[in-house]
Amino acid sequence: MQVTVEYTAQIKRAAGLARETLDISDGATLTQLITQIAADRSEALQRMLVTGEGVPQPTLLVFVRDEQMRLDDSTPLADGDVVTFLSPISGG
Amino acid sequence: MPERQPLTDEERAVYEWQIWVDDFQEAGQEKLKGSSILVSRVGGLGSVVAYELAAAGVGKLVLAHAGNVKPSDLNRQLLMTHDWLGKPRVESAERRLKELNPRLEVVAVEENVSEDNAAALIEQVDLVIDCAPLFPERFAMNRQAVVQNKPLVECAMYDLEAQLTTIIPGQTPCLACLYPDQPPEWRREFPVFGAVSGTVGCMAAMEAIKVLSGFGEPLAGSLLTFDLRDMSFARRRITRNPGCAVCGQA
Repeated sequence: MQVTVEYTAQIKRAAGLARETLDISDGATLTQLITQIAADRSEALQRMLVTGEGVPQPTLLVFVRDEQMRLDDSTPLADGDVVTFLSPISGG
Repeated sequence: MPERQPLTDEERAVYEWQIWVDDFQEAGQEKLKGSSILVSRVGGLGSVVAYELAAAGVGKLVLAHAGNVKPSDLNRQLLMTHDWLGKPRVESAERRLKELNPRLEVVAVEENVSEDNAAALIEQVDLVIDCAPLFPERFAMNRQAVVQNKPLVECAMYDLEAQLTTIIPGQTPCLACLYPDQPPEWRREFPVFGAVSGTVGCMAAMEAIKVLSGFGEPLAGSLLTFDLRDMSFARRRITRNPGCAVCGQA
């Protein structure tokens, strides 16, 4: 199945693109999507998505179809989902 | 919440156009006059936040920002001026705000918010606006806002993007619900235009005005994000973390 992934701010810069469509396994969870993306991308993007232990960064803010999804949510993603990764940003 | 303060004839004349707003009126203006707000850092975001609040007639602003004006501040920190390079930022901010609104009470603190001063700074105000670049000071502000049950407007920016939400302790997610730890890749200096900080700064000021005056629909429990590169805006619901170390028991 396919999901659309949107990247924002620092994550977008590290990914080098704002949006892409990815093939994922049927029944894949959010954690599996994150680790799949991190596996074959730049080191900068990997550091924003996963910790040194390979688990999702706790500061990632993720929305699926505009609803916040906790990183430990094991609900399977659905074909056609739009997954948005929000990068933590600040003032200045 | 702030106590209403009666307006003078001069204030009725100055604020006439916003008093015409149906669900604000003179009662709303009296609440703003009785209000006090902490603006943490008066940089790209905080300059515009403070300027709009001063223009709107908020009674008292506490401004916390360490350091002197640098050349690289001047693309976005609109309360800083070229002739103030090398001098304290909060002095420049106070001077500019008083030019706009001589009735405004300004408490200029030449320190950034920290775990050491957050409690005392927030005790002085009805509401906090977080315009700070570093997560440790943002976490200190968030913790004290929750402890003291004060609303906290959170605004942030990067490149042409921005985020905005309003935290109502005990009702909405707090900053630590969203970001439980220091983001490992965040750096204090980052790409941004002044027009981006100005846009989100105006929105943050409007959030504070709505919360303090009790009208409109603040972004409580919602996160507004936008990207001025393609003018896309989204408003997404955010949820409290039951295990949050700061507000989980609130």
